[in-house]
Amino acid sequence: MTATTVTLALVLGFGAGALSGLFGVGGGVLFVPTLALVVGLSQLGAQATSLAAMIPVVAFGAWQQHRAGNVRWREGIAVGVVSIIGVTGGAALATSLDEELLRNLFAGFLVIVAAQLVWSARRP
Amino acid sequence: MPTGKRTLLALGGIGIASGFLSALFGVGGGIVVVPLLVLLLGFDSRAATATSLAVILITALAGATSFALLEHVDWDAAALVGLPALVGSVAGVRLQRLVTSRELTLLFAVFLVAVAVVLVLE
Repeated sequence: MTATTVTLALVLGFGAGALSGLFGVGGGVLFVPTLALVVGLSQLGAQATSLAAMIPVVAFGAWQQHRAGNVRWREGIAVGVVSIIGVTGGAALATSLDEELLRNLFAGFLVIVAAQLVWSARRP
Repeated sequence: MPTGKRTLLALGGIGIASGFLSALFGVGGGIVVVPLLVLLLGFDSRAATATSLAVILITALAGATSFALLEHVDWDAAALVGLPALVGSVAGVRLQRLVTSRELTLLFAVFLVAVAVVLVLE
């Protein structure tokens, strides 16, 4: 990695965190494009690395929300533990797909996230 | 108990859907967890957002572990974007209390679509 890439990744990482805090969108939506387009990882590598990158942000967020008394842990842990079954299936599918197809599917997912944001911002 | 059974089914369904989406796209899965906790389990939006973070923490740990076992995780790159993001998220939450506007959200949506176009063309 060149110094420029490192600097850009640091700045975009900060930006991804700021935007996720601002809009309540998970960091992954922004980590994946940063890792793929700026750091130069493969689509699968960017997605896998994004999951690792979000751990500190999510852990800190969960801890803050816990302190504020907003987390319903029973349900959260139940859904989280069951999600491991889904993770196994999703990981198997992601690793079996062609790079370009996976990237295009991710792009489609971004458009759905954008549509959901527009929907949530509609006039009350 | 039909109500208890329904709750269990909802919890399981949300878990499987969000875990699948998360591992398929490298995202947290909050986009499905938050609305489904509201719709299926009657959470208010504050509790849903907060609880989704607990869910995503488990999901992301599981996802990162499975991809790490397959040697797809670049740990240096993860630290490079993940640690500044931690600082950024604190700033973002602060900023949210000062500025939240429909225009800003729409602008962000346009930005996401632009990123999608760049990814497809790349």
